[in-house]
Amino acid sequence: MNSFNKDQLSNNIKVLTRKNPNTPRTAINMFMGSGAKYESLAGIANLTGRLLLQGTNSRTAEDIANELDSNAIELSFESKQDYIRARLQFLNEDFETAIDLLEDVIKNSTFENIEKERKKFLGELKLELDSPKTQAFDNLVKTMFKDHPYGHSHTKIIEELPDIRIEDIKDYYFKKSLIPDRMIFSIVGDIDRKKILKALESRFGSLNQQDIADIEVPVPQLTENKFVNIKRKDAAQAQIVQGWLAPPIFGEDFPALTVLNVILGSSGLSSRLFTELRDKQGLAYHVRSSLEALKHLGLYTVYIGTAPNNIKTCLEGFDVEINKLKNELVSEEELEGARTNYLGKRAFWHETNSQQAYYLGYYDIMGIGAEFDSVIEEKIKNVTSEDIKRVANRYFSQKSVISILAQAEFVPETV
Amino acid sequence: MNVPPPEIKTRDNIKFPYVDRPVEIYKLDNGHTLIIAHKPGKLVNISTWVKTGSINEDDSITGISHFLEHLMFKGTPDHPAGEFDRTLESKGAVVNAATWKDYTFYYVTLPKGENNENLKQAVELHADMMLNPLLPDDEIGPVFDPESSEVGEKRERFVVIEEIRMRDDNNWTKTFDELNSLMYRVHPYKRDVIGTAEVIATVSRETIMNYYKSWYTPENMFTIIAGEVDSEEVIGLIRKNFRFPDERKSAELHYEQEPEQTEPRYIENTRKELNTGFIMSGFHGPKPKGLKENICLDIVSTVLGEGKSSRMYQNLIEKQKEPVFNVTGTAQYEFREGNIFLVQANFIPEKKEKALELLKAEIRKITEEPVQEHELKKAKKRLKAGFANDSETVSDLGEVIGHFMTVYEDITCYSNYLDVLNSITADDILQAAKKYLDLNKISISVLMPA
Repeated sequence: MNSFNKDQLSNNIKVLTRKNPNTPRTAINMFMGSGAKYESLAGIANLTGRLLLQGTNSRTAEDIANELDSNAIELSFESKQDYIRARLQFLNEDFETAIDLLEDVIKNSTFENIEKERKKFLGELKLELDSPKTQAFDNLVKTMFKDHPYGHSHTKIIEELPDIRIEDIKDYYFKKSLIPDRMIFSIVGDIDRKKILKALESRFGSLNQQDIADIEVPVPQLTENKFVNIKRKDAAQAQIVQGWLAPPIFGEDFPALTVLNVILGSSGLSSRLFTELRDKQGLAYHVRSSLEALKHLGLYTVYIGTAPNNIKTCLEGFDVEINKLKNELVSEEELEGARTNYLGKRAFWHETNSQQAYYLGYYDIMGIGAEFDSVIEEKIKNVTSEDIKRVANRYFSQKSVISILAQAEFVPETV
Repeated sequence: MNVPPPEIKTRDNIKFPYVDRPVEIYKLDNGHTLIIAHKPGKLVNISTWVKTGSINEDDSITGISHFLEHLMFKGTPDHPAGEFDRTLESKGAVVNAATWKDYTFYYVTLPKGENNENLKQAVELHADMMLNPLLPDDEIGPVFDPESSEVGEKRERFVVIEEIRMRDDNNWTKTFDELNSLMYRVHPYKRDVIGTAEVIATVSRETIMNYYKSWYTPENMFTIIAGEVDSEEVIGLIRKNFRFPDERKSAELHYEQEPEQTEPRYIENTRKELNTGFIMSGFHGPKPKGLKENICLDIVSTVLGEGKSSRMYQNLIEKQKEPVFNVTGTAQYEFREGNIFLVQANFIPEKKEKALELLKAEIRKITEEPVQEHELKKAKKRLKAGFANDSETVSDLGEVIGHFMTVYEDITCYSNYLDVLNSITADDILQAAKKYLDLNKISISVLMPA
């Protein structure tokens, strides 16, 4: 599974390919290394991705939708903090149609439907914020990354979306995103590499290379503990999230924090948060931790959804588990279990062509190279219990943000 | 173990689209069914589907199928609570379970390991969990009054009550649950799978154990192994480990059938501080086993509401001058005794009347005019691609087999699907749409900001 080929188009666009014989669908991902971090206004990256399916010089939005659906071709754009990704997936027989469509939307989109798309986007954001959990996370992210593009959360986008003009979109797309030096194709399927390269060269090899330096993105800072809350009527549960800044994906602490995360709460039914707060104390159905590694820093969170009168108990429960990681060495057995768990789960996340195409391109666009997708295995195997204690002390001794959503009478004054 | 291993009674195999080797079905002499699906790769998915769910409940035990699902993880005489999860997750497994109206299933997906060591261990632990659960009182937790703020030890009862609370905060779930109770008045499908806090807080261990013994019988269980495995080895593992310790026969299931709905039904609920409104409307659909009508409605769903080229997305979102809807969609939820055809949307609350009117107009149209040729072609292609999707992971493959075994009660429906699909005409679809999507029999659940 780990082998892949690395090529380049004549304008330096990287092409990563892996052949998986006898698979009916091909996955093509195209990454552009921009994302929210290059936004001048919150929401530009998302709106750009959406507008890439809203019409080209020769196709209307409806034409695009019809052509995709009639051929069962999946094409969508995902805008994250550090990149925009086109996800294309199709039955092998539809390769030509799929790649023609991708070429058209990437090269010839007009972005003219901006007003309509802005309204649609706004409606969808409002819908998402009707979820109390989304609201609590939104508040956390916005607070942690205040004045930083990583903090372009739903509510921040709602604030700035009205100000985005078509010129902003075009500037962002043509000058910050569609830059061959910062573009990667990753393709996995029952493919012929030479045929793929030829098809991509003829369609994307002539995109102009532009001489644009990397845009400075500051490293986010969190200088004080913060507590934010939302009082929401009719909320049956309290939503509690605590977040810390974490190492960036290329940081030396990333593997140790990844294993720590398995032990604490990212994984299934046997993590510490799950067994302590759910199994033993019956505080929640959903409790977990999460590590989101970004290019310039990461975000570590612990989350629980609980009965509102449990807020204090849950925060204390978080503290107990975090302090245990800081003060006690993880046993060899638990450590080995966590390492193996991660490696097994990794196989689970790499099962489909689509998942594999994502990871190849993802690690490369994040600046650590597609090889990292297999290098990480070795790094995980080498994590020690001392490493875990060290990173626990390093990151969990820093400032944190606590975000709580609950009915007003349950929201504490301070935490 | 004194019980002798079961013998194989019948062997069948069946060809699946996009799966190279035939899927093998073994009926054992104790009634248990084993299905093996071969898929190349390191991962293997092991699951057991039990043909029991909320359909097997009444008001006094609503939610018991799902509560039992939680408690099945709480240990056996050989493996105390937590060992199953810990042992398998430390081998890289994904372990979980789910309960729905017609079935409850438990699964493990993990790397097979060197010499299939993990596979062997997973089958052993999984079988032990399915056959010998202790349902310990101290894990269930003491009975309590859910209305009282004074509570004792919080154990699994509380976990499920938190799950109820979590679902209550989910607007789509809430809207669906209200729709469901609007559509069914007597049939046991009327109850929410999750049950009520009252039952979960008070149901006794004995009642749960009785329920387990009544329905977790060999004849009600389908064990599915999907992955790159040796059939003989798997058969050996199943025969060795699935030795039911007692003579279990399923209890008889009695319930009332739902009388035909003859009138439109409507319910509107409110919630404070919502930005948007939610609609879920439903029609009683065909039984899954009636494959042709079922597929006709899959096509209707595709044409009407799946994907950005669908009629609803184009007409109700893309082409409206001023927005009415935020999202729209359709789906067919398959249930053994009859599907629910769902038309759902999220909308701008001030435009509720217009939203309802527009949705109904789209439904009406598909019952009055045949779908166009290009729409039919598109739907067929999309449904075909769905089969490619099903075969991409061992988990999906396992899940689709389990679903067809318990909901369709006939795995050949899966292998015949594409042939039947190819034969369907625009007129077939029109007839099915007329029959099932009658606006005089629509049920509508709306959730609005208070």
